[in-house]
Amino acid sequence: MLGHARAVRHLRQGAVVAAARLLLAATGVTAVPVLALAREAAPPPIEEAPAAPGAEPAPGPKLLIRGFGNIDLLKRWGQEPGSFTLGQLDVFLTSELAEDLSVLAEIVFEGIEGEGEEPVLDVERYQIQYAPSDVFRIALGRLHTVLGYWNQTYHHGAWFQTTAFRPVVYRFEDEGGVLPIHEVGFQVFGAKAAGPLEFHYNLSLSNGRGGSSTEIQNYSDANGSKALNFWLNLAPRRVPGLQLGGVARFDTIPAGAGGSSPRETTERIFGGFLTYQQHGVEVLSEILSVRHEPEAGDRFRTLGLYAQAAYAFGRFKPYYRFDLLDLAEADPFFAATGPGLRKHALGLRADPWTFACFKLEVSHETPERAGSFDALAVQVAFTF
Amino acid sequence: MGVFRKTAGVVALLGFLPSQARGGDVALIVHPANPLSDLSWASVIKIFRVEQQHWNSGGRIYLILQQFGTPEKEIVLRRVYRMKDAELKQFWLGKLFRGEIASFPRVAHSSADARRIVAQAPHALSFIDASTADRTVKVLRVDGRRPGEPGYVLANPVN
Repeated sequence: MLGHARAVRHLRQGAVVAAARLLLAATGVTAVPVLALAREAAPPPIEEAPAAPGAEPAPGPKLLIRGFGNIDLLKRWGQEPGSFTLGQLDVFLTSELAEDLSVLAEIVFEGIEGEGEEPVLDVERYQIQYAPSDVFRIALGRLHTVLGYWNQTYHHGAWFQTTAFRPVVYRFEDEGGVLPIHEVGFQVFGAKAAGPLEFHYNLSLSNGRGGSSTEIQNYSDANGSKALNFWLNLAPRRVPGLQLGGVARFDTIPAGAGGSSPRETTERIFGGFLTYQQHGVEVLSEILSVRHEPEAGDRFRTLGLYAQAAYAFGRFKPYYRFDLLDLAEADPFFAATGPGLRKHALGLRADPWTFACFKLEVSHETPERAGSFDALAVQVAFTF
Repeated sequence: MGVFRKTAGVVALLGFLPSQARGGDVALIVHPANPLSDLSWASVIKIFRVEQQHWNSGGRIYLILQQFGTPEKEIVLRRVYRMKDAELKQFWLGKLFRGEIASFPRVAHSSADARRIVAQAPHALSFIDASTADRTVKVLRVDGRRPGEPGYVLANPVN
């Protein structure tokens, strides 16, 4: 009886997979995500979909779909009751239009603090990229600003990062962040080896920030002044895994509404980073300074940094991170941003499966002019 | 006469094979029209990790891997990627997510399959069991050495 039930279950699985293959062959969508339906037979993600017998190639480029997500349990003692929390549900799309032309989109369903219990939809990245060579590439659209190391490495996928959360300095704009995490414009970037060093560069021109720290100018530029971003990364060939570099960003922020600055503000962001990832060792460190000079007004400087270390023992990776955000609270541009803080986080990441992991993290946070508290986070992060 | 022709054919074919090729060494192969004949080991690693995506002579490198489980893939995983198969899957997902690639590399099911694809694609690069190389593809030297020669970096350790 048990054997019969198992046989029926396998038959149903087979039928679902076969139907999915036929559907994908007909639409041109790659079979990678759906083939994972087959229990105990998840194929490698680089496997190509077998064409259905007699099927004609679908017109148009193939669309590759991937999902990333995380679900958390959070407890902050003395702050709020423990809660199960839906993390970002990230729908990631990419397609090759030609050998040197591709499109990438990242659409995220997420909860925004203070905006109710319903998830909202954000188009986080939306770009077309032309890559005629390794030295010169250009991407146009809504992009992640290349500010140091973290922002263009981990994007919105918690599964990729060792820790449960992003560094405090790299919080997203709608989560009280101080940096322009996203930008709308274009980036020119590439890599070139020269002697003992390998250079990676990124230059961008974008709409810049809106009138408040949460505003990203997707459709128009309020003051017409474009933001310029210069980023350089050096990788010594003799020390594989080591990267160091810096960023300089220049923008003029338009006068904002509400609590934001009533006048245009000059923004200068300078930063540096040093990372090492090799043989299971992970060391990440970055420092970023945000300087604001409102016209005929005061000058404000906000400083953020973090240092993170981890070591992989097989499927387990213990880690520690120190975060510091020294926020210029009198800066009207950051009127809606949370207080500066210091944070120590100690955690363990476990990867019992290839495409899903657990993270357990305890932290001690000390916000400025407020009492410190401890927190616990349990996270399951995955790709599908 | 017929025997002579057959013998001459075999000798001619052997001329295209790697000298003293040992079965199980991994040969890097390109299309015969590719002007390249030698790659540095550092370049091999950069190309397989898609840090270099274009040939110096122009054109995008069409990288073809082999599926998990073949001896050649095991050697490439261990020597080139220094990863296990599960880590390689995560590696490709990371590349995709960061926008460094727009699709996953194509996977051949065997050395014969990889050889067939490379023979048809001028910008392709793949790896096969060196003993299966023939005149339809060009076997590259790595740091000046061919498969079977002492010190060849992708030698099969069981040989």
